[in-house]
Amino acid sequence: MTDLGRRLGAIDGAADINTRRFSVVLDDEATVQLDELVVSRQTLPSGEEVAHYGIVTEQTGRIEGAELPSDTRHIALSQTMPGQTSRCAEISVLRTDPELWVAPNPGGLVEQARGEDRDKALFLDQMDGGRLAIGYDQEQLPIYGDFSFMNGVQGGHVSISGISGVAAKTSYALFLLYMILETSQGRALLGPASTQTRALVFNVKGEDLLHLDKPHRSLDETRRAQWAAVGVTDPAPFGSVDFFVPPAPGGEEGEQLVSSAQSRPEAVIYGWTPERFIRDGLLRFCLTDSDDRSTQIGFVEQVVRAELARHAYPLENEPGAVVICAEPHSKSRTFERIIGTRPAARPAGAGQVVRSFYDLLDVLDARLDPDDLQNWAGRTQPGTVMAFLRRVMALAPRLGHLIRLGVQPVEMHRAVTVVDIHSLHESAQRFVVGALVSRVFDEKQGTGREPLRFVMLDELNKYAPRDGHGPLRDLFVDIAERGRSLGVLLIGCQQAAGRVAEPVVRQPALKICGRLDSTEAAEYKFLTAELRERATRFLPGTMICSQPRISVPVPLRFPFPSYATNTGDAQLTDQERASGEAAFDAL
Amino acid sequence: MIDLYFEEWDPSYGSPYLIGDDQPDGAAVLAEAAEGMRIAPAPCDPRPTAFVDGVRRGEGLLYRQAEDGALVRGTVGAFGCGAVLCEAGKIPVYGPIETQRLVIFGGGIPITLPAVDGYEWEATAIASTEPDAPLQELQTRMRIAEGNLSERLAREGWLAVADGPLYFIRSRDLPVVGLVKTHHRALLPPEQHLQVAGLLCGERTPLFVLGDDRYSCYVRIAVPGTRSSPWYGIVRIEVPQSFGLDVARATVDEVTCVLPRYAGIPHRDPRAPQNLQPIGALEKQLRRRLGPSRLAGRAARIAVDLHATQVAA
Repeated sequence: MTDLGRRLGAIDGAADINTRRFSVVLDDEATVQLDELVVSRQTLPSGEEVAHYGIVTEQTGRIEGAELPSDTRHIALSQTMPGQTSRCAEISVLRTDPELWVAPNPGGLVEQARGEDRDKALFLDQMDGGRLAIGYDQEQLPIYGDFSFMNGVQGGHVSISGISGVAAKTSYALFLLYMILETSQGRALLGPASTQTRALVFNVKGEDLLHLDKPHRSLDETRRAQWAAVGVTDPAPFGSVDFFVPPAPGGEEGEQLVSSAQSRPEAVIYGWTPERFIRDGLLRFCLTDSDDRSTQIGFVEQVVRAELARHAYPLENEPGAVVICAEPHSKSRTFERIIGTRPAARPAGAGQVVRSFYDLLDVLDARLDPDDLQNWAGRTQPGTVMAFLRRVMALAPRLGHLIRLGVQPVEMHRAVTVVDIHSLHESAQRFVVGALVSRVFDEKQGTGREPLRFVMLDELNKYAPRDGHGPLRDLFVDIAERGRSLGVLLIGCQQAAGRVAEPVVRQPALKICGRLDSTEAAEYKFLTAELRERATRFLPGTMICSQPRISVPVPLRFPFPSYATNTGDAQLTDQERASGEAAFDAL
Repeated sequence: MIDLYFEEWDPSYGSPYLIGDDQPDGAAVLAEAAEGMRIAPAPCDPRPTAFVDGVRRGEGLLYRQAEDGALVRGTVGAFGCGAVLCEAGKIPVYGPIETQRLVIFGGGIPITLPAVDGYEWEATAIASTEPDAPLQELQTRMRIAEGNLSERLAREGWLAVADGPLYFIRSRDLPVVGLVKTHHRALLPPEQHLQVAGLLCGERTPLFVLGDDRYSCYVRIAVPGTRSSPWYGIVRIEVPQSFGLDVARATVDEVTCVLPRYAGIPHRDPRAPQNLQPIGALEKQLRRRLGPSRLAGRAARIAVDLHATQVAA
């Protein structure tokens, strides 16, 4: 049944009306807020009924008859001059139903869009690919996104922009993941592949996301009601999460690994064994500074990467370690072909043993000696080779500790895999992101779109900057362009879309903005001028969503997290509380 | 002594003081005894006041060739009349506003024009065949409407102040006040007439008898500047005699108190201060309500064409 909306007023005939926007002269007793949905119906001369659905984008008011500012004083204060206050709401047209390119009728009545009208205004009747609640409006009614634009069928990827701290980018990204992976709504949309759907989440700030499996201690009744608004009756923490943290740097070789995470000691310590590093060709993600690619260093890296793979044999009885032998095990110099077969293991005496990144550096140092005629770099300018070597060596203190024996590979066994990179140096962060994301992408090549793989990453501008080239940037551009058909879907966040590679922020079907930096707002062409201006004033929790189905971006809010998004947010278990109290008593 | 003054009114509106030396002297008799010509009523709490005014506009001139070959003149036009309601402590608001479109023909035969684009004309005729008689009739219609509205508001308890003299106030049993901005002839004998310019703001002259049905007096409603014309800010108000002198006196005292507050503002109104703020705003509002003149003219032109086609058919 249609829930009839209140009458708001009539379409202003004193201002020009077009198919995109119009203005409503409000009735004296009518109040509207920005973002409210409205409808105006008309009968065309042909007899056809047309409804225009729109959203309130701005409000204006004036005292008619007041021509000079001082007139206002005579009207409102000394009360000697008559004046008529008129208030207008400006409307952006969301939809014309049926789809006729006609303007609304000047003088036509405008009502609130409620019930079926609201559904039509938001194109719910056209979301054939299923709909997922992606937030709620001011009246706590759900706003839906078309799932076929999230799962790669018609579109994919999510881009979230906004300034640090108040834009709530990470919170919104997590909310989306929660809706997709943890709610019955999301699972129904994922279908049979839902249990194999995985999300790779990078934790870039503090140890914030290392507690997603714990309930948020501040989730109260009001906040539960926010979840109810998006159709979730039992908000809970993420149910199926694995946590991976890097080892702490330093320490003697062969010592036991120490986790870098303080608040999550049981998290798996990840890293790459030398064999994985070499056979996955991860050297390419070591040199990702933009100036690394503008020189011949990239070429040296390519050669060295292949040579390493050709000469590396598994070390007998020490899984993960390799021994670099003089004779290659493959005649090919094409990397993909070289790693096509795994050579037989060799004893330590067969060559130079590599158990850590530092061993690897020793190998490179020896094999790139320009005086050695057998050197891997061939006739490349010695200066370039030295520059390459110098850069790789500089990486040792930054990411050396990630390449060693005894660490676990990051495997996505559960719905959400959180990989902590916050404590790593920027080069190491780029290395980890490149290594893991490229693997996810490679694994999906040729296996079909489903099950889906979501990759959630903040500070995208670090990995896919607007300018320059590099393997990591190319990877993200590739994912942005091809990922949706392969089922690799990026949920990317950035402070400023203008600093991220253009396809990475253009391709996403779902574009979300929180509070924007006023110097940056001009970048967001998909927002209306009013919204761009307004977005610089948003409070945390208000976002604007642009999606292909709806021609005008729609502001929305999203619920307070039901999972801890911060070390301090996690609700303590009884056991934790008891042990804390015991420790206090012991003092 | 030669002295120079500056008239505040915009020259396109002419002078508010049109009394020339060659006109006959006034002979009105004072109706109340007073010491001198200045009366300053004690401040009072005025009643809710309604200011009534009208505007009219000829929007096209028509001719009709009569069967005997004579050319009969007509006009299409519109008038609007309305009120601004002022109550203490409230923002003045527009009261009832009515507008009417007419097609007026001389020679006694009304011609009905078809409606065009939402424009409709009430057909009426007058006996006179004088060229400007139809336009005069439009003016008369507006005056009558103003009178009716003033009476209605007075009946509802408002202190009704109508713009212009009280010609069309038919019922003399309502204390409607007429307000005259322009002075065409001297009403008081020369000696008293000269003293009118000596009024201070918020003062009035004693009431004098006007014809057999009205009392009148002059009121200064604004403080003149050093170079303002001698009759700056002086208006004349009229009240019916029918209630007797006491009621008339009380009414003009009340009005004398009220008017300075609403005096027109020079930079807003070309006829300030005599054209009161509510009246100035009302005139603008009424003109707006009549719609653009060019569009009304266009509609009338189409209507005349249509009429001709219909007659031919």
